[in-house]
Order: sequence, then C-alpha cells, then structure tokens
Amino acid sequence: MPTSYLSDPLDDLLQRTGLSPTRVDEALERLARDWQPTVLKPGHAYLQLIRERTGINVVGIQRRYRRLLVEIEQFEDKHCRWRYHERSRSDCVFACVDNIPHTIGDALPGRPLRALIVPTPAIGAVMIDSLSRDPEGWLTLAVTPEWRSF
Amino acid sequence: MANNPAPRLSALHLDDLAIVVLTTPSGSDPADPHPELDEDTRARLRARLKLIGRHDWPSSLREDAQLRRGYTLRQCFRLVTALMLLDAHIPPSIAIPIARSNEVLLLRIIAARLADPDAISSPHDMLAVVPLGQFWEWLDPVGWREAEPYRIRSLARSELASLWSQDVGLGIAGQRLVLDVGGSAQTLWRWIRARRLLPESTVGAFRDEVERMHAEPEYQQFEERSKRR
Repeated sequence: MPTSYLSDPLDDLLQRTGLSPTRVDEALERLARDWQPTVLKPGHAYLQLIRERTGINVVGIQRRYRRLLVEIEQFEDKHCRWRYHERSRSDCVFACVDNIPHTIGDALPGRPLRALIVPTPAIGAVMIDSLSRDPEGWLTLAVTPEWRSF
Repeated sequence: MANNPAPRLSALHLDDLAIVVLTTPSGSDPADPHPELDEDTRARLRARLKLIGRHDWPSSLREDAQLRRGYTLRQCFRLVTALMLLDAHIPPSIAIPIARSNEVLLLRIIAARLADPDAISSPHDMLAVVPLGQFWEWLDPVGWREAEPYRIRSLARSELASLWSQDVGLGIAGQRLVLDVGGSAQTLWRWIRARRLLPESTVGAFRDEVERMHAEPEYQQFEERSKRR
C-alpha cells in the first residue's frame, strides 16, 4: 500500500480526539466507493467528535493524492476569528484578524507561527513563509506544516 | 482577463450556498455558516443544481469560459433567483426562462438591497411579483407571447395591497408569487462574508456592474429553449 500523509496539526487533533488517521482514511475510502467527493463535510460524526473533544471547529477533511488536508475555521459569536486551510502540500494558509504593527509583522517570515499566536500547540509550530494584508483588515500568512506518513 | 480575474465562489461551496438560500428566512442571518446535512441530502441537492445547469443557468462554458474556476457574485445571484422559483414548485423548464428573461430587473432589486447588507426589512423594499397561472401556450401561442407571461413586476413592500390592481399593471388573471429576492441576496452575502469566501470589494463591483446596465430593458423575452437536455 502506498504511503499516505497528514500534517502535524491534523495529527495532533486526531490524537487528542482518539481517532487514528487510518480510520479517517477509511471513511473517505467509503465515500470514494460510493462515487461521492472524498471530503468529510460539517455534520460528519468525526468532525463533531473533534469539536466536542478539542473545541476546534474543523469544517472539512479532504483527501488529495493520498494526502489528508484539513480546514479549520474558528468562530466566536458568529465572527470568524482565525482560519487554517491546507489546500495542497505546498499551499497552506493561516488567516486572522489583523491588529499587528508592521514592525512586528515584517519580521515574521521564517519564524514559527507561535511567535505571533498559538491557536493550538501543533498549529503554533508551523513555519511562516510570507504574509500579506487584506484591505479588509485581515492578515493572511502562507505557512508550511510538517508532514508525516501513516 | 487573465491578469485581473473577478473573484469567484468555488464550486466546492455550491451545495452549501443552496442550503443557506433555501433554509434561511429572507433577510436574516444564516443560523449556521456551516450547514450540517448528510451525504444523501447533499447528493440530491447537487442533482437539482445539475438540472439547473442543463438549462445553461447560471451560465455555460460557452458564455463564460472561466466557469470552471467558480461562480462570480452575479452568477450566484442568478442561481438564487432560480432556486427561489424552484422552491415555489415551478419546474426548471419554466423557472429558468422566467429568471433569464427578467434577469436585469431581479439584479436591480438585489443591488438596491445590497447597498446596506445589514439593513433590516423596510416598507420600501422592492419585491418581485411573478404572475402565475397564465401559461396557455398550447391554446393560443401568438396571444400568449404578446401577453408576456414570463414578465415579473416589482412592487414595494408597503404596496402589497395593490397586488391585483390594474394601476400597477397587475390586472391580469391568475395567482401571484411574491419573492423577496433582495432579502435572500442579503442573506447569501452575509453568509459569504461570515466565511470570507469572497473579498468584501466584490459587492461594490457587483453594484457598479448593475449600475452600468442602466440602459438595458428590464424584460428581454427569452425565446430559444435550451439545447442540452
């Protein structure tokens, strides 16, 4: 069987929930067998379990090229506080509301995310590659997590 | 075009869009930005969306080569109008011509409401009124076409009492379907904004686009039937 991958933050979430990546992969495999898109959407039992045990609002786990990709959008009173999207191996984004001065912001690339904010310890360990500011007051960071095989 | 593409809503969120539009009361905040439905319901909804797509609505690859990248805000609102008509049990082969021939009018109603997406409903809101029950196409095709059966009228909320009055051109026979498309568009935009699926500037660009269409007539009869069935 070829190797599958998942990122450190997702692995951490699954471990704290008591799920194993293999079980998530099997759930996706069942979807694929029914000709349905290989993505766990909100309402799936596993995502509800993760939210109950860790308080993190995972809105999707999808599989692309044998790689589990997680999408997290953390809400507080109906407003999105921060979000973490993995779109592919090399395209992962962390976004949060921006109130960081430029002097601090410009020094961020090349340092781990925990220099800025610690959403969960595992997400805090991802490395920041570059940053951009939206005109709407959001800070978007391109980040690289560690990938591990299972 | 390639340098400055309009932001598009990924097709990934299309069934969520349909759920939000169909289950949220017009003009209110979506209760849950991530609607929870089982795979079977989503599959049936996707089949419905595909049915709409067969009628080249909200667009087709021939009209819009970029459609694979997702839907622009205008196309999302086109889809909203079709979904609201389907929700009133109008079959797609009638709902899509209605939505298509009255597109400019519906987009104007929507753009007026989106001036302030957080506004609560007021008596001056325009509503779309669809006169139904006059589809006598098989009996008298010529007279039927001259009567403009697919034409939608707009009416302010405070004038709903004159729904059957001759003065506003609603003296014709048949039942009326009143749609709060503006309110649904507000709901949709609040959902998009809460999840940050499109940049905030999109709504301004959409209103400018509707502004630029000021010369176009509100009703353009859509003649041909869609070819892909």
